[in-house]
Amino acid sequence: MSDEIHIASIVVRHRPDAFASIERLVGAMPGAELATRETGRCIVLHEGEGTRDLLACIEAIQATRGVISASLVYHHAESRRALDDVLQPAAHEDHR
Amino acid sequence: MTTRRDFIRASAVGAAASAASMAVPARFVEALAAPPPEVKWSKAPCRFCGTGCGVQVAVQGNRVVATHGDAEAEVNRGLNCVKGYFLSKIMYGADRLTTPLLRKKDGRYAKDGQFEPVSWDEAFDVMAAQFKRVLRAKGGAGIGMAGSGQWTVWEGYAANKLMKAGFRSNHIDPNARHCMASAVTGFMRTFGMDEPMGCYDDFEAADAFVLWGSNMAEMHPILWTRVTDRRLSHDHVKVAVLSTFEHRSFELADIPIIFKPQTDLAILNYIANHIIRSGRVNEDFVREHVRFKRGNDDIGYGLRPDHPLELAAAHAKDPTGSTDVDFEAFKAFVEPYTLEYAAELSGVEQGWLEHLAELYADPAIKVMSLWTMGFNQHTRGTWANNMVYNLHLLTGKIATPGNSPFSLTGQPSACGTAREVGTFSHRLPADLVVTDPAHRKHAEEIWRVPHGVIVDKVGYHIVEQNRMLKDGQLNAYWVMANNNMQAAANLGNEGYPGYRNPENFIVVSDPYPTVTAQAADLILPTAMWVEKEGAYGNAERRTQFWHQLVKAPGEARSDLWQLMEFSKRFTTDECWPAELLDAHPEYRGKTLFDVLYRNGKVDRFGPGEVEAGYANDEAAAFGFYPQKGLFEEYAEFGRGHGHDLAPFDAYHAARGIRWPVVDGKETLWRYREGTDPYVKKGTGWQFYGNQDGRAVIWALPYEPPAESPDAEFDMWLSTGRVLEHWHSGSMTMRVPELYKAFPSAVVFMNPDDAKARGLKRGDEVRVISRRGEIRSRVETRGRNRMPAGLVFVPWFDAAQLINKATLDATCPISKQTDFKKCAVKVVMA
Repeated sequence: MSDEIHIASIVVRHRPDAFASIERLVGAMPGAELATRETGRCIVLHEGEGTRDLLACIEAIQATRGVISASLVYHHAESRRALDDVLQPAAHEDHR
Repeated sequence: MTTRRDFIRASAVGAAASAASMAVPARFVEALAAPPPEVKWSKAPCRFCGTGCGVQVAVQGNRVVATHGDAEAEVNRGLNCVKGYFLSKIMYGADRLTTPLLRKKDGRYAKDGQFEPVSWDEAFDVMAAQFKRVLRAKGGAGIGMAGSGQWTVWEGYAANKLMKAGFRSNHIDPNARHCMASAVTGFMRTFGMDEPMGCYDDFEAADAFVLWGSNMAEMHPILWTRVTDRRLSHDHVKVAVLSTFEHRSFELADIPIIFKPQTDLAILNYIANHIIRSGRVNEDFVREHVRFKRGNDDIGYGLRPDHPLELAAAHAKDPTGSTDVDFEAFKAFVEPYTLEYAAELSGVEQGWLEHLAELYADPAIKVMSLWTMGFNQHTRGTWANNMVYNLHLLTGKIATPGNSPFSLTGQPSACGTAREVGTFSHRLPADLVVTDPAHRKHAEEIWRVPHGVIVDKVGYHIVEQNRMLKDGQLNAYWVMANNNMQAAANLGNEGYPGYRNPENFIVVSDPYPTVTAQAADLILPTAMWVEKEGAYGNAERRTQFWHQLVKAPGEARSDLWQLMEFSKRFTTDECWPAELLDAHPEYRGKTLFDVLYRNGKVDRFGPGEVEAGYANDEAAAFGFYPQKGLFEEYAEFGRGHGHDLAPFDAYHAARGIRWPVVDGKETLWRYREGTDPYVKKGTGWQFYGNQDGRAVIWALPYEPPAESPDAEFDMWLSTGRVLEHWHSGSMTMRVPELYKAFPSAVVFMNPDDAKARGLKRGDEVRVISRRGEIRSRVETRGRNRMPAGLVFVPWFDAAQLINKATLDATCPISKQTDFKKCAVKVVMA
């Protein structure tokens, strides 16, 4: 099993009447969640153990009738343990 | 309490929201207040297609660890397609070349030897000896170079100088010949000047989009999101998609049109006829800004001159000829292209054709025409380009926001390097040509070489280069930044024999052991993308720069270093005729490096001028900043002539700037008063590429393709790309995620066609033409839905070289191959 966790966001553009099927698909997919939506577009957040799951998620969305495009925007991978670090905003104010 | 996971999840949503112009949901906002992860990011344009997306590149140590869409880049606003996302991985394929490899036997170079690692010195010694052998026998006429729309601007410029001034050979041509040569000749014939008048800002202004032979959803996915946004947020907007088969772009189509191959020409003339017959010609515009020509017809198919089709064609020897005509003659010319005739020839329902024609005819609709290989890879590709301009010119729908005939490009610098730098066999920078004495003289002055150095004849284009290698006319050949063995048509008969011809010495510079590299005698390992400082020019005239961010692995060196370093091994006496040197003795005994790159211009900026914090291996090697010197010398060609480029340093600061850049301002719409500083007040429009300021409407007919299905070879073959892979796959096939997503080419086929041949999905088949065959597997489902009688095979797969089957017929004007139409049969393997 991989120790890495991949976090990615996907912008989906779709015909307005396709939203229900996208919502159903994403709801049934482990690691995927609907972050936000507007008419004709939504953002899917995906978290999983490798890029294979991520690509499968994009491919499934793309294959949904009424979906015009699914674009990967942001992708980050690192060890499971590092992701649990608690951030200390006060100590890093210089970076803001 | 915020964990790193919360922060990264919020960053992911934040980046997506910004890319899609959406608000960040409240539940993620809080986590974004946490500090960003520690990484060093720099900007660069994407390495793949001609869209020119901006990416942010993260470097850790000497390694690119991540890329993502650049939110500040106007082109893509933070988005990336799946290829762009995995961009960083193209440099880290397991079989990356890190040392020169020479074919040797018994310790010496041998054409029939095996590849062995050698030093750069040995590689260049052997290569120089071979080039000198050819120079002594034939002069520059025996030396050729296949270049690329993936060269950086200065690499193309340095190569052009080395070939056209150094070796005195015009046999240099880019792989872009296969990609957009028809767009170039289309622009030149209609406007007298290359490249689109509009820009990507047209996407947000148009009321209708017409895709003429372009699958933007897969090939230009980021621009497709801009079309999609426009269509889905404005109910009145219409999208028409024309193709010979149904692909992913049809998801968005209001007007879906599947036409029989080649009949796009008839559809174009029908629309012109419809505009005229329905009284919607913009008469003021046509009177003031347009003139008419009748082009030569029956112009052949760009095959070898002794091919029966060429012997039978009336104007095979004069395909560019024309006569002046007037509007009435044009009107009469297109009159036979009625709705009924176009529908019958194309197989398209009349209703769809009428809807399509109205998008152009209705004066209230701002229309953007988009095309790529469907038009350009066409034995009448130049005509198709001319004919779509006809529609925009008849209606005056041109060079204003949203009214935009727009030729998309497939390579990152097909425009910037192949076209603007003029690395074609007939060209010099800024649209100048080798056949015009004044142009040659101007180039020689800028290059500081004697008059008479540049040869006055057009060199071999890239298709002809393969033929001339086979025929033994071209004997020393350098292939850079392309994979032409896999890319060129009819490779078994016209590609491979020339490379293995015992008289010839073939050098291939590439980061990977491509099909082409493996057919060579010497392979030079090449630095790629952010391993060097670079510049690309995208499809909307946007020039973009990047810095060197990492070092290339092992002994790999940039094309620029290779070109310049190799030039040190030649003197003018070995390359130029005695009478030229007698007349200009000050050049005698100098190396080509001294004459071309140590000329007081290219070497005038010191290595200290490289921006602090960035490496530059070439500046370190040569002791001056060659990228800057080459760019500034090159820019002299265009400044004041409508091709104005900004000063070098401005590009490192900006996310690209669209030429002409006049008084520090970029130009969005050319030829139109108010948006183009070259257009005089009170004229409205000026197509100043032509001396009279008028664009040309061309009367050109429908003519049949070079080869059509018959009783034996009973199906059309079309080739092309898929989303996951870029061109020949030499980079994307080495990215594990992309490889897994689409590992092997398949034959997309209509289920009824499969059934009739006793085939089912997944069966192994042979795809056979008169020229060659491949083995593949049948795909009757998936992203492409084929009409009966046509199969589609992507060409990215080196294990299934579909170009063994294709026909090397070209547009006789542009010399661009038609990879979309030939006849094959498909049988069970």
